[in-house]
Amino acid sequence: MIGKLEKFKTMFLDECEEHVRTLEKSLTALKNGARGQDWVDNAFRAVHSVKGGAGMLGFSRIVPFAHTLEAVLDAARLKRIPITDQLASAALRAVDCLSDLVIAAGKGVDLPSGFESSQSAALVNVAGISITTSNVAAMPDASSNADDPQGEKLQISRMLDISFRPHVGLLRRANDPLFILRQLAEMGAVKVSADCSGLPPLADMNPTDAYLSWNLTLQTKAAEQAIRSVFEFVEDDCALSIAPAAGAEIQAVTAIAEPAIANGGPDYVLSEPVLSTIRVDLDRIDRLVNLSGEIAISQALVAQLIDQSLFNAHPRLFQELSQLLTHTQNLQDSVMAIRAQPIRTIFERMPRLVRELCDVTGKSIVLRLVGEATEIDKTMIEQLSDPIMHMIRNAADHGIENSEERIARGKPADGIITLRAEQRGSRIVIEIEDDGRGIDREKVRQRALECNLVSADENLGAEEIDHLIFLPGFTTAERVSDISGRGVGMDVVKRNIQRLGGRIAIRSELGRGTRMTLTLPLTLAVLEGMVVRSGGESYVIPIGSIVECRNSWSKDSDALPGLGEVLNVRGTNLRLLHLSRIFNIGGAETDSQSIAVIAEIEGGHQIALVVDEIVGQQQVVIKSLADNFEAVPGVAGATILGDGRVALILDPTEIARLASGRGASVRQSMDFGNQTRRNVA
Amino acid sequence: MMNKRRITDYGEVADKHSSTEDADLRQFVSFTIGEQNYCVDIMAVREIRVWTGATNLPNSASFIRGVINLRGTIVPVLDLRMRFGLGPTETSPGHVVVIVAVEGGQTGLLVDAVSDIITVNRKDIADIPHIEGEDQNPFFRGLITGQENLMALISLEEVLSYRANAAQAATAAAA
Repeated sequence: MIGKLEKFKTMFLDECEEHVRTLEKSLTALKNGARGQDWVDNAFRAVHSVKGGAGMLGFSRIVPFAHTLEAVLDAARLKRIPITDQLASAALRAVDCLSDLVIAAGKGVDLPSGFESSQSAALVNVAGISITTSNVAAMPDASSNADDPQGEKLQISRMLDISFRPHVGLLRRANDPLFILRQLAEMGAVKVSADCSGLPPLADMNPTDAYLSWNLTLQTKAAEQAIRSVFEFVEDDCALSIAPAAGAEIQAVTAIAEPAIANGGPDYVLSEPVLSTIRVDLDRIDRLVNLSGEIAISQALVAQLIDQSLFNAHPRLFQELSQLLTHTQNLQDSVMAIRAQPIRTIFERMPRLVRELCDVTGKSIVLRLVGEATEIDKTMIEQLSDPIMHMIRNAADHGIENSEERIARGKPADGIITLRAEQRGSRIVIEIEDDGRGIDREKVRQRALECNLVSADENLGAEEIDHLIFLPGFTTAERVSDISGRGVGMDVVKRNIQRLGGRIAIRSELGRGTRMTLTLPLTLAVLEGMVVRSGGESYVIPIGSIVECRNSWSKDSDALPGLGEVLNVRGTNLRLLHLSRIFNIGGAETDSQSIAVIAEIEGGHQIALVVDEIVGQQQVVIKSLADNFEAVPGVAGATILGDGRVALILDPTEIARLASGRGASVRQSMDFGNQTRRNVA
Repeated sequence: MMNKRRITDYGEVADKHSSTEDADLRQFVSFTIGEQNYCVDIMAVREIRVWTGATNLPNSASFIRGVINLRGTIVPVLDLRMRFGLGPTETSPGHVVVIVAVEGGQTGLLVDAVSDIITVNRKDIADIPHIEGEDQNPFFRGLITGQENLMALISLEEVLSYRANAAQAATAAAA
């Protein structure tokens, strides 16, 4: 029983999240000047649902606060009070507070008393109405029914197990069990099973005695009271028990959609809007991804094994096989598409963050969201949230100036942070742009010197200085504020982005603003790659990073003292790196036939990577090495080629780093052989 | 899915044996490296595959033979001979990879040949004799007597401890 209640709570909390989003969206629209009735109605309905659900589940803390917000929105909805920017702002802040209350309720945390009272008071104050809060907390059900003009019943649909066991004499009092069962059927979807175990042998049967009992599963929104009233006349003549059903989760979920149909009424269901989505464990999807990949491999192997003569003898074989190939490809694409989700999920969290940042910093900031519908891998969504939040915090704290300073510089008083997402080819680009003061390069350089991150004689270009902020331990904040400068720096952001196979770039203009650009693969799962060979092994280089491939390159190469080999490409000297040397692969690269792959690495630089040969271009499914092993320097992951063998996916940036020795410490830590083991033991 | 099924398969095998016998009996998969006999707990073994080569991992520890494709997941293969400090294995199609699963993932152990599944009474597992002044070999948890040959019981935690070490070293370097 308790488990059941927990499940309803979880459902309620999930739904609250949706309602809070609806509230934010509607109120933001109102704040930005939209005056459509729809917006107010939506907001009202959302808060109404939250209140009702909270009342049902006994979250007494949420109910009065939600009631206040609901009353204000109701007044606005019925045009009793005007909708103003101030009202919308106050309501938005109240929604933030409501969201906190819901989260606290979900975690079972007690917020300090009076936590919500200031928001509540502020809202009432702005609205200029008086609100009767009597009985709200005590009788949530009654109140939500009472002040609902349409008399909407606000009840969560749920499954109930009803056991109805008439006593022997029930029929003699002119009661008809069938009538009761029919009444129950009107309250929702019902499943009835008769329990005939009480039936005596025919000879002993008395036609006026009741022998049968019934077990029912009722899916309804009706209150228990209403259900009990069906049994009103038989109460004393039967054993009756009504309890939440102990059934599969799926029942609780379907319960959302069906009762409305069963009742045929316009009853307002808490879980509205009904989404045609299901929640699936990511592991299961990954298993599907793996399996579909394996099918493709097996199929390719089968195709290879089938002899040409066999094809000639059975022309349809070829036809069917290519059909199968198409289906497999479609299957793989569909499986990948399951993982894609609109980036909206992250973006929607940001307005609240900016509102809070405005409060804390006293700055006036407008957040603009562009391209929320852009779809991106679900796993990435989860891991992008923190980096984006961090960058927005930075933009608000370091980037945007306060209003006076902005006006003094001839800028509009409101700072603007733009969060933009779009798909460019096979990559997703996310930009965080502010129109603040930009990066003060001299200050950054100074700071980097103080932190011993660069030496005084290093001659750094503008871009290089900008990228200093990604170094671990770097902060320009002179004071550690509440918001940023807490030690979690841009280096962590960069690492997180890189872990997702992405890149981060920064462009800044002093006095004009800063733009951070995150470039991410469309999905974590697939990559367009160039398959190359070196020393008998196949490797995959991400096509996105390849600029060009050159054969007979050796005439353009040169060895510079202290700098190693370089390759001259149309007048530019690129570092020339031999994959076999970096990876210590034996027996590779006879210089005359090997190929130099020019690849772009982080910071816009290029390197020339020498491999034995180029095999071809193909889409590969990215697999993690770290799942069963650990990350390998220079390697972004692994994949399984058509022959079922594993090929490593190279990370050109890391390879360049390995070559320049910066990766040495990592390499050393990797090389834990027996001797180290002994030392430890 | 497949993995799961295999686990139960093994589980059933173990049950069949143990149901009629007492709780002191344990089962091990035994294999050879050279002339030596070793064994690991059967509950850790997921499957046994024939050696078909592995993809080299650059700059990895000497005993990491590379990675293989195990139905879509990438699994490292560890040359057990090399891990024990006995030199690299000269592989042939007759060599065998024992896939074991411990916390932190699956790993293949490259061995010469798998010999048997043995049932051992707890009392037949002896401690490793400790020799004064000499480091104890950390890879073995005990010696199994009472079988045809003397067998060393492998401690998978120790054999696979390179992961923890690497992680520790990385944190130490970062700090």
